[in-house]
Amino acid sequence: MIFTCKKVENCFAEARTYEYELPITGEELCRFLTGWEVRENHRFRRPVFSAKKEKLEIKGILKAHIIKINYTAENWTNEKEEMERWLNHVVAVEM
Amino acid sequence: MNSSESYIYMNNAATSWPKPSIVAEAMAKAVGALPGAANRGGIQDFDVFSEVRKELAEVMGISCPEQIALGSNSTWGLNQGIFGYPLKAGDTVLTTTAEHNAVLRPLYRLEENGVKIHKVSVDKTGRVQPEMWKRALKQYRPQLCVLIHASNVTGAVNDAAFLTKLAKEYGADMLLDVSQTLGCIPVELESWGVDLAAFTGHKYLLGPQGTGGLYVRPGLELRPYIIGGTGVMSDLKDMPLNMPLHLEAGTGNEPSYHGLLAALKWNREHPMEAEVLYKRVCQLSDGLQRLGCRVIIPEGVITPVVSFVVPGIPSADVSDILMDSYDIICRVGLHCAPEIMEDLEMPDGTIRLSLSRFTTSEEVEQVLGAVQDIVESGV
Repeated sequence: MIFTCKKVENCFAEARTYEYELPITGEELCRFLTGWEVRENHRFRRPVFSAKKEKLEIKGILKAHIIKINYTAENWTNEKEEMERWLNHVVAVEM
Repeated sequence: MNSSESYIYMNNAATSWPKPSIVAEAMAKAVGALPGAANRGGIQDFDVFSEVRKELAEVMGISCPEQIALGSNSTWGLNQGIFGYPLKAGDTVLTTTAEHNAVLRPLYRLEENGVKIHKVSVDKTGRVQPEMWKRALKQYRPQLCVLIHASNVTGAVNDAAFLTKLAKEYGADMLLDVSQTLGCIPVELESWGVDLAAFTGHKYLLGPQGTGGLYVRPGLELRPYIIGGTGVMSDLKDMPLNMPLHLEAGTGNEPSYHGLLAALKWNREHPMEAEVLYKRVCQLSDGLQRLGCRVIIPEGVITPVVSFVVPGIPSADVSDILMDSYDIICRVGLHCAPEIMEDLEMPDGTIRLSLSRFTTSEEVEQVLGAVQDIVESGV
């Protein structure tokens, strides 16, 4: 793995949001999100992006290296593994 | 991380920040100093725990400082109070839906042992209505009542004096949770007739984490929940009966209590300007309302807490943007008080902004500006 991953805890026992620290920025990641519904918001002090594909959502600050992914599928562990494989691939290409 | 100076800290209901600089100085000095004598000091030995008790007694409105047992936090105090109170299977505890999990979870444990638990609902601002409290007292005839003094979700302060008086009329003892109020609004445990009160040092008293405990009315004997060494009377097989030793097993957190002592003295020398703080809270809640947020605004006495939601935008998204895009530290979710959300009609929780005496009007404006950006962009 060429990123760091940590579970984001919240008030709910079923929380399935994970934070990833990547060697690339959110902006760089967005270039790989073809097929995703990507939205950028430049109004905020630090502009943000969000990307949705089916029930999967990625969020982050465009110029930062940390993203959050919320896994909602029933087989969410598979979804997470698949996503992390894809992230590895993206990072390898970009680096 | 950005430097702490760039942040706007609005999570004081969780823990206060900043704290007076003398708190850290006192703690650092204590860590390097010769340790205390663990209950064996002579006249000339400085006993930080006794000094803290004296200062706390002033703030709590009690005349017997030795009735304050010092531990690690409010949760410690609540556990000592709830599990130490002489309840047996079939007895009843009356509480409210506004309680923190530090109360609810110990009560659920008691329920497993046959103690009956009844919860009085609160109004849409998180406050206990006396007529509902009275009705429940009459119906359930509890041995013990456990009541949050101020909701950590909405800031609504309960009329502890009157609700305690009602509890007494029906023969119940009162355990009051003053975690959110001590150091923020007047607390008068003795004149209110409160039997037990759990408190923390790290919120509005401005002390460090790792401090807090339980006041026990003279004459009320608890069965210690945590037992162990006391440094004295080591030849006894059980905890000494005299307070505070009765409830204080193990080595105390001396450095943190030096910090709390410094904070208590600082508070005495720098009384909080409650009107200024109230003005800031109104500035924030009025501003949020103007932006179209759904804000919980309790009438009457409050702590500096503002809970709200932005219609149409998940609260977690709002708090993420406040934190990540604007360096505004707030809290989102159930705030460890899951039962109150139904009464507030906010099942998914709230975004909570909690101010302190150090919050400036400019900071409030910056927060409102950030929320305005979020509302207008629709995220």
